[in-house]
Amino acid sequence: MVNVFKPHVFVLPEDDENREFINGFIGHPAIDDGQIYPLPVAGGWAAVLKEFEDVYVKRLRDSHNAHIIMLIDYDNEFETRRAKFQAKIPVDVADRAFGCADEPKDLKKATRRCCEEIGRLLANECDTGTEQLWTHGHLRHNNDDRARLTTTVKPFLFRQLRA
Amino acid sequence: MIERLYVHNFRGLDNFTLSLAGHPSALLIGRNGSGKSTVRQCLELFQSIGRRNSRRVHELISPGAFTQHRTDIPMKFEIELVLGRRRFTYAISFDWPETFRAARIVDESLSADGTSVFARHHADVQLAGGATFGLDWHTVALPVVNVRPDNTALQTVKAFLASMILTAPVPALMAGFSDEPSLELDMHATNLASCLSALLTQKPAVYRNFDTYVRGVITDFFEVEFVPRGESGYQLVVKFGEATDPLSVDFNALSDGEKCFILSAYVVALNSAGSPVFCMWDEPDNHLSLPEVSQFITRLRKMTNQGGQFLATSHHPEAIRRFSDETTFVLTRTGHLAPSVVRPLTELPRDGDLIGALLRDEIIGTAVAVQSVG
Repeated sequence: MVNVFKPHVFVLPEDDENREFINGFIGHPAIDDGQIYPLPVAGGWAAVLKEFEDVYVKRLRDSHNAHIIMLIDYDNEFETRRAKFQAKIPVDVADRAFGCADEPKDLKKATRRCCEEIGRLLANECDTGTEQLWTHGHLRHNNDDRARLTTTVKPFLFRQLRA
Repeated sequence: MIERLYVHNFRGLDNFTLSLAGHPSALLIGRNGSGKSTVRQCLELFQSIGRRNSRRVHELISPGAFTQHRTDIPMKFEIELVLGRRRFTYAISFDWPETFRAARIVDESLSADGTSVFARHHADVQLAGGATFGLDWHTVALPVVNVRPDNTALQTVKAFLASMILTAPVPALMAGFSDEPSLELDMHATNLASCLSALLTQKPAVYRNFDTYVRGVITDFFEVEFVPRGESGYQLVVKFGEATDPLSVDFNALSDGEKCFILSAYVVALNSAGSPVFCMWDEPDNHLSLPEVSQFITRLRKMTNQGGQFLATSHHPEAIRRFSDETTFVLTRTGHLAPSVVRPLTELPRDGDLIGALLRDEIIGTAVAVQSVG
């Protein structure tokens, strides 16, 4: 249940592979799963953008505790696609809207891991402050947004685990 | 944890293998009648043996349990477990000769790391050291066999089978009254209060995990208390609000969904108590509001971070989304005269997103069609 009185983040995946990344990510023990809300798959990057505009811009404006991460395939058109997204993100909510672009099928093949495992590894690197998978060729272009997420979202999304 | 379950000639399961190796959590999906709950019933048979509830075969097997009433063909159950660093296999089979009034045991065995702990055929039981003795063929050996005290295999397997949580909770039957502590949760979770009481008595430190869980889903939760009620019983009371003036509510007055939250908090707390838990929950999304489902499933799956294992069945899109293709198994059955078939979702092709494909019946419908032709 979304608690609008606490910082929270919606995650909007383009497709099932990105949904499975989220499953692995939120399954990491350090993630506070009460602060993150995975959404149903949008069905394509354009649908992600449309849903963001139709639903989540208002949501972000209504609650300053709300954040959103959009997970899309960049289909070898990262710069073009990023420009399209940036053009549609209003300035007043831009600090709480994030994009993460990947190539799930290629990433799975390159790492020989399933999406859940990849998501979990990415969460682990976020938790420990390490960078290995995040610097992979299919993910490293997300560095700017990842840096913003580390500042803005990580403090409420990750818990300090007891030894 | 459970690595493999093999079942033959039991209801709709014929030469059926569910392989859970490498799957600390998994989801079973399929149409109604495809055999998902029958998997739970198989595990209940093992649980019942481990809990010593059923030493006699007639308490375990009814004539209708044989596939298409084939009582002349042995009904077989085999479970492979990895507990600690040891691998155990326990198997038992039954038949029902025409002149008998109850089923009898044909074979039963337990092995640890490939070495026999005991094996029986009909009434003849042979222990690892070579000793033999006779046992009524209507009596299950596992609960009654004793071996040398340094052989821990029997106790390990019995304790695991007894501790399995196999639940399809019925909130209306969960009254919250405890007359005797127990760590053996029944299928409908009617004795949840007894189990919670026993857990908090034995491992009071896990109350923190229980409390954290419940506060995360019921924001005004304050604490639980066992209040003396009747001659020797206790009523589970849930308190809400502030410490200075909390509102006390008997557990049985909670909503169905809230009762399921308390049950889930108990399972998660139990798993954190030192002995990892195996939990099979039949349709855990029942009774929950739509925005609650995702976190509910995620929390149960996260038991695996502490060594637990979670198996669920579901028809709910939000529950299904919280598993991945690699952790989802599809059960199909072409009709009541045909056996259930289980396949990993990864083997079944689809177009578009999973939920859309399930709604269009592309995945299961196609699998059933192929099965029918085959």
